[in-house]
Amino acid sequence: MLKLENITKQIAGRPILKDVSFEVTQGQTLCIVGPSGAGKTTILRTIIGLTNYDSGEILLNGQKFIPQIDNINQGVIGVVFQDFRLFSHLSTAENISLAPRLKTKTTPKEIQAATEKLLAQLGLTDKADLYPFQLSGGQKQRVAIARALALHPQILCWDEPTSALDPDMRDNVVSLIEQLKQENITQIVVTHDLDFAQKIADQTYELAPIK
Amino acid sequence: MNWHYISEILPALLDGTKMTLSIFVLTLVLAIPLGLLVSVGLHSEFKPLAAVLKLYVWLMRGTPLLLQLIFVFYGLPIVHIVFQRFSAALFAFVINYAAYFAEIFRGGLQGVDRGQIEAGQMLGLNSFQIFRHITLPQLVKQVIPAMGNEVINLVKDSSLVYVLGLGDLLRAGNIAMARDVTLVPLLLVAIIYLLLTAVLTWGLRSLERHYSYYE
Ligand SMILES: Nc1ncnc2c1ncn2[C@@H]1O[C@H](COP(=O)(O)OP(=O)(O)O)[C@@H](O)[C@H]1O
Ligand SMILES: [Mg+2]
Repeated sequence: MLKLENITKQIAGRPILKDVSFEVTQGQTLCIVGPSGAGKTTILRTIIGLTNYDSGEILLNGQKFIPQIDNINQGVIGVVFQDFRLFSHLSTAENISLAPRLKTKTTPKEIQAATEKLLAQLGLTDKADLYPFQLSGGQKQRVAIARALALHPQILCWDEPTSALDPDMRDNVVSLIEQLKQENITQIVVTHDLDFAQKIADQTYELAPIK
Repeated sequence: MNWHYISEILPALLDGTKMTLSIFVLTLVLAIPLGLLVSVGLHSEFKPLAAVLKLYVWLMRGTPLLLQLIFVFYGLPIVHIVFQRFSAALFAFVINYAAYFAEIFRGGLQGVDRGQIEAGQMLGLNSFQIFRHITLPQLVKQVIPAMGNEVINLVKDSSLVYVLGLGDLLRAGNIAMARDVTLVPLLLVAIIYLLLTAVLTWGLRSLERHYSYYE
């Protein structure tokens, strides 16, 4: 579905990514594993268009795909950042509904219904009016997922989904990822936690640090 | 104290207060958006623009407001740029305060987490939507304390229009004092300024409390 071919990138003359190639299949979960500093976050940032790459190609369903942070990406790729990056001045419900409200032609009523559905799906109904600073790490993560899902992405990217959580929350993330897989959402999960990767991955791509 | 005397001069003082408040309100209404534009321009990728704006802020903050007022009203006519008294005062106040506000907003913009903006980009929001719905609300919270100081300063600074011969609160008090040879008018002027700053301080506190709903 999404295919990277020989993606190479330097930052300030230093090679960060070298010939990164992988393909994630529709509805599957791809884990990108590797030690800290290997460039995992950089790959994600490249796919979602927050940073550019020097050479190589990205294909989406066989078509050349140019990651760009604008309308093109809307509905294609969603992301759950490592530190979640919820909008601190907006409540849970507002975090989820902001982009649909601004970017889609849906009516306020439909948006509210969709938001409530996402809240229920992620067990956040009673947190709808709380602000990010009032939520636990796991709750913030679920808000971040709901916010991304509100735009119905074809691919959901995760950066280190277990790193900001208590160890005993890890299994919750595993079941969340499973749940989304049931809904046929393609997922790319970056992690340095091999145990965790083993539990969720259909495919694994190993990223070795460049010497 | 002579209540009769006070009631006699109060109308003139209140008239002066009106002028003081006009300068105050109009300066805020014009200088806040201008300051915001300048602060965004200071971050511009287009370096000449950023440099010109930096020079402007430096000039405005590095020279006395009194000098700027005199320059605009008494100086510019020499090169055939003539302002009415009130427009001259307002112009000088707006460009001076916009520079101070721009500096405050610039600091505030730096304080808005880059990650919040990236999150907005990832949701496909355009730059304007990100500014309007993410950066601006977070900026407001950050700048309220510093803006509060400037707003209080502005009330007091407005008395500088005195030098242009505008009939503000201070002038009204001074005229009554000179005419009636008594300190009462100036005391009343002080009380009116204190009331104005007290009301503003209260308003700013409420605003701060309003924005404390999140961290
Ligand atoms: N903006 C940047 N400027 C300079 N170096 C960077 C930047 N982003 C990442 N790097 C470097 O690229 C390498 C890979 O970083 P990253 O993708 O965050 O690794 P990982 O997520 O696997 O820990 C690191 O050595 C990091 O220092
Ligand atoms: Mg990382």
